[in-house]
Amino acid sequence: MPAEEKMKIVYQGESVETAAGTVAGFLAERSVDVAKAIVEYGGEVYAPGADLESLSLEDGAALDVFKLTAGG
Amino acid sequence: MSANPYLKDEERAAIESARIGIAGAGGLGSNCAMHLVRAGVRHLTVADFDVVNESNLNRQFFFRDQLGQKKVEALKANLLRIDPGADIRAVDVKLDADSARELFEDCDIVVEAFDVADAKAMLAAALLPRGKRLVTASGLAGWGRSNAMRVRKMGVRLVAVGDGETAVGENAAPASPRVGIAAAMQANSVVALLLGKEI
Repeated sequence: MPAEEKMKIVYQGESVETAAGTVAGFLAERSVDVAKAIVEYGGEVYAPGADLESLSLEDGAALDVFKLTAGG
Repeated sequence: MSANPYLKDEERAAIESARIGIAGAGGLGSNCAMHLVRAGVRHLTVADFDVVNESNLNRQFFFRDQLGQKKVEALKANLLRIDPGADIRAVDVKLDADSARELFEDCDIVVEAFDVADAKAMLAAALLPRGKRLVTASGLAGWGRSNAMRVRKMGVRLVAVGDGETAVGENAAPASPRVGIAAAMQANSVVALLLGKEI
């Protein structure tokens, strides 16, 4: 994808640039294991295993991830 | 239970009438339950399949004379020492998605207190799509970095506690202070949710 088609989103509170088209694609770029993460996008919360492939990234949107890690 | 004299009647009623589910009775669950009962929560459903062993005593709300006991039974006994009238459902079970949904059906809020990441994911996937309020915790291993521990609200039904990064491993032992901070944050969030206050 040409650079001019990159968009900016707010990831974990910080503005970042991405060429990914979906939430799943963006999180794969960031090596986030979505099977062990809770995702908030567009005001909705997605549990592990949710379909993130069908969530299109929108310019300026906020995306937050909470990684589930061992310990308790 | 010695009532907290600073609570208004309606606040006390909100705390005392709620049922809170706790998934796991280890470092997070046992300490969170202790805080909740001290805060006035009187109805708890606690699930765990494990027994108290030596390695638990570095952070979990158990005592040496309870080694070998089922964790849920030992925890119930300890909680009843704080509030003899508390209604503690102690369930000896290894939860899966179906049993978690069924067990916590009547709970107002569920606290995720597992140690294994896959189990944390299982519970979130089981309960969040059903609209259950969940207080989860991750990123609580190791020492120091207290200020990295935080509480964030995600959507309207989920509270996530911890630094969100630090997993238990060779360089990050599970230890009482930081696990305790997370457990207290979970309990604090539960009470705030019951009172309709900012988490």
